[in-house]
Amino acid sequence: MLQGDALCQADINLKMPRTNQLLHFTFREDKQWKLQQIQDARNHVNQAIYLLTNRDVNYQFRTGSEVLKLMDAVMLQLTRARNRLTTPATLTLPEIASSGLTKMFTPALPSDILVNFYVNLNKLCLTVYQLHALQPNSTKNFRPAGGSILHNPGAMFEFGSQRYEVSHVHKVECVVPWLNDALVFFTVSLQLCQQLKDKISVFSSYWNYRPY
Amino acid sequence: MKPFVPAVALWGNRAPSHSITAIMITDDQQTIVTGSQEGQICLWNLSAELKVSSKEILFGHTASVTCLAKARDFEKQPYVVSATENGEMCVWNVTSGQCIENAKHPYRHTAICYYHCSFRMTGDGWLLCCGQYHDVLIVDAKTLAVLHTLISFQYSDWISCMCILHSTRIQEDSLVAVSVTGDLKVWDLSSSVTSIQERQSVYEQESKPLDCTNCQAIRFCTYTERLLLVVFSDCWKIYDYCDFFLLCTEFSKSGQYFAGGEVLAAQRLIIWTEDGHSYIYQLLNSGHSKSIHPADGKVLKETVYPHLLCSTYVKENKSFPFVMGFMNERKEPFYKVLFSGEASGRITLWHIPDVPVSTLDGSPKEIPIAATWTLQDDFDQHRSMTEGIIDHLCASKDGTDSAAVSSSVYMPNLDKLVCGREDGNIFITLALHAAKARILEDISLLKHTLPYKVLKGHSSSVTCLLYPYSKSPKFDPSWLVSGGQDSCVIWWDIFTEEILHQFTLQAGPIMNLLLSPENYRLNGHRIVCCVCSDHSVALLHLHERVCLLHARKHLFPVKMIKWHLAENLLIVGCEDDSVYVWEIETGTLERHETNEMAKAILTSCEDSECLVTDFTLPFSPDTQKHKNAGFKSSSSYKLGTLSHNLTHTEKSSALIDPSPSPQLFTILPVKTNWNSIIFHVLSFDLEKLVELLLSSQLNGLKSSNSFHSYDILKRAKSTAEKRTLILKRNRTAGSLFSMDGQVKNVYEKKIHKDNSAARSLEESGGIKTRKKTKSSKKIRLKPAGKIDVKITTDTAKLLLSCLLPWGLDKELDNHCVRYLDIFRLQCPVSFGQVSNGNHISLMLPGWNRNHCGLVEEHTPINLFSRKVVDLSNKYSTAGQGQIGKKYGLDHNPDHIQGSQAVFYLLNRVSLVNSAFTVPLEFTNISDSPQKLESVRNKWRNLENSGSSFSMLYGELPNYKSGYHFPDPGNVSLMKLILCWRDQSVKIIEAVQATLLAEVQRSMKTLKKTSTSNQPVTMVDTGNGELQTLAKTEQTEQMAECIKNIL
Repeated sequence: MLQGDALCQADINLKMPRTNQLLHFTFREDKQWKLQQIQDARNHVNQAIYLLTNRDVNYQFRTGSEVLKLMDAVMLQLTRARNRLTTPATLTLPEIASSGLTKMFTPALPSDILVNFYVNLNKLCLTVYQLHALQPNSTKNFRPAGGSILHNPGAMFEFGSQRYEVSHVHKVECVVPWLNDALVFFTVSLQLCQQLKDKISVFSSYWNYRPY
Repeated sequence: MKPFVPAVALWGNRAPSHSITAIMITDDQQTIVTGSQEGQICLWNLSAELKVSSKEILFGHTASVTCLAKARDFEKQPYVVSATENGEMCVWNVTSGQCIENAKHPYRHTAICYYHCSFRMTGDGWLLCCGQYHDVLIVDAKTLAVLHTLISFQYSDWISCMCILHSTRIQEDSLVAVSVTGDLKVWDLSSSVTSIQERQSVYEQESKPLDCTNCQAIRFCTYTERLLLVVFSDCWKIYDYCDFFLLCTEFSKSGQYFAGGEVLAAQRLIIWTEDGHSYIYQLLNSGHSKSIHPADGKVLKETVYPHLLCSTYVKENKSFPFVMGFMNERKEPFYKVLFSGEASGRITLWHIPDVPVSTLDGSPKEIPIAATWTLQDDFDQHRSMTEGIIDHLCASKDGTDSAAVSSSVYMPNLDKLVCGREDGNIFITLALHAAKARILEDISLLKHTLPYKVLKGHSSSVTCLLYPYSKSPKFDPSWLVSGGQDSCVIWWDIFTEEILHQFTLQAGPIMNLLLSPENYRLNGHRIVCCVCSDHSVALLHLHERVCLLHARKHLFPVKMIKWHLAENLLIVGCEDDSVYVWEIETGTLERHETNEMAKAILTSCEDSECLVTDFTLPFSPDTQKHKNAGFKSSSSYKLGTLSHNLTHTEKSSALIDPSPSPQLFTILPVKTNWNSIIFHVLSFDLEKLVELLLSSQLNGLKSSNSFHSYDILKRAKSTAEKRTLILKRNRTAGSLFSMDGQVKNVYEKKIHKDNSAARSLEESGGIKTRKKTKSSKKIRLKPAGKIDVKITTDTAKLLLSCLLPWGLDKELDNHCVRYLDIFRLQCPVSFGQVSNGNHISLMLPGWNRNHCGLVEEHTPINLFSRKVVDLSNKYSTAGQGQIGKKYGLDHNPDHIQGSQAVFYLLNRVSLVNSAFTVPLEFTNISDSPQKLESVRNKWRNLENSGSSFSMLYGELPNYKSGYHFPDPGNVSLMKLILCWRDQSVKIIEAVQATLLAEVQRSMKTLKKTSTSNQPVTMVDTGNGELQTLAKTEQTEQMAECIKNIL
């Protein structure tokens, strides 16, 4: 369950292919998981709002360039906010393993399972990686995988002096309606800002106008 | 360190815009540093009387500066770090203006704290950074590499402000930070130094929600070591640091937002607001205990309440938030200074009294403004320094304010400068002449005879100019394309001053004119692509006089233009990351994509030719560096339009680019963001200049068939052979960057190889043309030689004029004018300096105010700093008895004027230059294999198996010209210069000191010779006698030849 920027409830049912047993994990009651992307997007929007509101209500803009500068600053924040939602972070597997998300579940996740939540456009995505530990003397040549949104089976990494290989990847997506709305609003507001800028700059030639 | 590229800025009479976004005062209270939205950093002198004057402007960032902080212990190294909106970080030396280190991270920092704990850590300390990312980053202050993060265990979020607490009582340091959601967090720094070095996770010690957002500042009272001041945008609060107990809250007036604060003294605070006001409060104990925790059994808390003592005001100016800071110095010569910077570029200072008191009746007292200053003030005060390069052409006609230059382009092949102005006229003039007329005194004659043409066609401001020939020799050299605010693109013939065609686009002002890539042609011709302010893109075919396509669908400004060659597509990337694909043939929009697909399309045609334009970028004088500074590939993407185009051609090695390498002298138009103010930077290629002068003199010798020349030629031959070897080496190395050097080598080989036959002046003199032979067939051979020599000497003289310390000594000035045949400066010049790749510092018109403020306005003084005189004295003593006696300069003052002496002085300059650059290159030779210079040096060093000094001599051309042995005098001088380098003397100061000493010495010898009336002074070195005699003869011949040439 996604509430604002926090994941409050989660249930994972996992059917292990090898043992055919069904595993069930839920989020701990006492904790919630903050989704960084949404948090960042919110912070950017807050900055934009602050830029727009930190003046007297009766304030009158005097020059066009003043408004252009303000719009530029606001648009920068809005673009970043939107980009945070549209581009998920590329994480390496050790980063996923070391994130606190693994400790969020009850019963505790087995050490050979990694989970990662991220937002991609209007979807909340969950990826579950099943790992198998590589023997230290294995003949397979070890090549640690770089950062990626979604790692493929076969990706290898080292975590806590133990080498792992991803054996299975499960990805679940779920459309979050309000994220969709947010994205639409970002686009619309950016367009509005740009239109305002365009309209003002039409007059720019008149500001500089001097009869020669 | 890169080779010294002498550059002179020619400002216009309007200052470049500088919207201050960050401000700080250095610990010695002598420099104010401001960062701007345009991406430049300004250094201002702050005098002991709190007078402000601009000193230098530092270019290098490509986005708005977000914060500034000191980056070292200031007493040891005067370094300041700056961070920008797009994640760039730079460490600057604020006394020399050099960029020490730069890096680009994917993080936007909004605040930086320098932390160094000498007894716990090694190295240069850490920069603790926070910004638009979670928690606190630790960046190494020296390398700017991210070392580690301080993680928060609870409520991880962006940190909006922080400060380092240093408790002298318990000798513990900790970092207190407040997140955007209002959580106060404390990290213990002292105890976690080792765990940070070992990369273990460091969590916060304490975390406490403050229930308030938009935290602006947090400060700790070091006087009581108890109070913590937290400033939010709508209130400020005092906490007890021991238990975070809230002691007092003060809300802001409506419509007013707090921006920061500082603790002045025990129980005394200063708080400032976004609109530039500040308030000083005295905290008084309220006496009665307000809140009691009987349940906890705690001690009774005594709260405090604030009493307003003083305040400061600015005039009604609410348009943009002020950036303010406060400097609290307890030691004497320093002041308590409150300072603010505005978006308009104004700096205001208040001197806060040590003991602020309210007026007698208890109402708050107003503290007056101590100083206020803008860049424009400096520009107004130094009118003569801020005359634009072509201002004198038009000023004569009407005394009123003439129209400013709004765009400009330099034509390297014709040595012409084209300036489009705000009134729609385009001026074309000879670049070198214009520069001379602008910089030098006593050339009123030149001013009036300066040939120029005016092209009249635009009805309003000329916004952009394109000279197609400089991009591709396929175009006729007489063509010029200009775009105006009237939405017209005019195609000119600059020789006949005719309009060949006028395109009317009706799409708002033309923003930019570009050429399609080399391999994209339509009917055999490259097409002109113009970007209009309504975000449309028009493709113009000049030869057919048609507009091929006018793409008008774009909603956002165009950021990127790419060409898909195979399918004849134009791919336009916009600022909202959407992509439009246009079919050029039919002019239809084929597809419009956003998000992932857009990115995929843009990356898919990465390999095909592309042109990148980025209008938001402020600056592009970086071009001049691209041959001696390998661009970091990461940064080149974000460089300005012009520079990118150049690097782009450089990258695709198959292309022929006639413009950059053979220029001794270039004028770079520089445009900053936000307004159309343009100024010009002259840049000289010192090495090439020396080389060309040498060759002109060599040629003189050759044609006169003197017996010395045989020796020289022998030497030259051997060097030529050496060079061919190097050449091979370079070829095998196959480095792109050695291109320039190769050309040079080829040239020298040619000159020296068949030197038994006397060569005609034209052939060997026209090096420029020779170099161009590769690229273009259309060379005018006949005038090239003579013009070249003249231009070379003129350029050299101009450079020397700019470098000499005029106004220091009248006699000295006269001597220079008479015997060196160079002109006095009209006004002090604004010199520029390049450091660390593409970082440039340019002096601003007020640079000489601090040390020669007493001199009246009309006697120009060009002394770079007081240090120069000391340095030059040192130099003369070091070189005493050794230098000078061997040089022709002193002995032939009457009949050998100008050239020889100029050449000699320039050699000195390049000697200093090489002393400053070479040894450093040696040290990092391993990590920069493409540096031709160092490779060559190394090789030569091996060959000679000599000391580094002999290697330097090998590098210097003057030894080829007839000095057969390395003399001991130079060794001591070299040592001195190297010593200067280690003492962080600015290269420019060293150069000036050297010149000063040389000229002084030559003047002294001149006096001596004129009294003794003896043409040749005695020389007491062993074989010096013969040497001198030979020398005289040789130089006489040289002089004759040169006269002939001229």
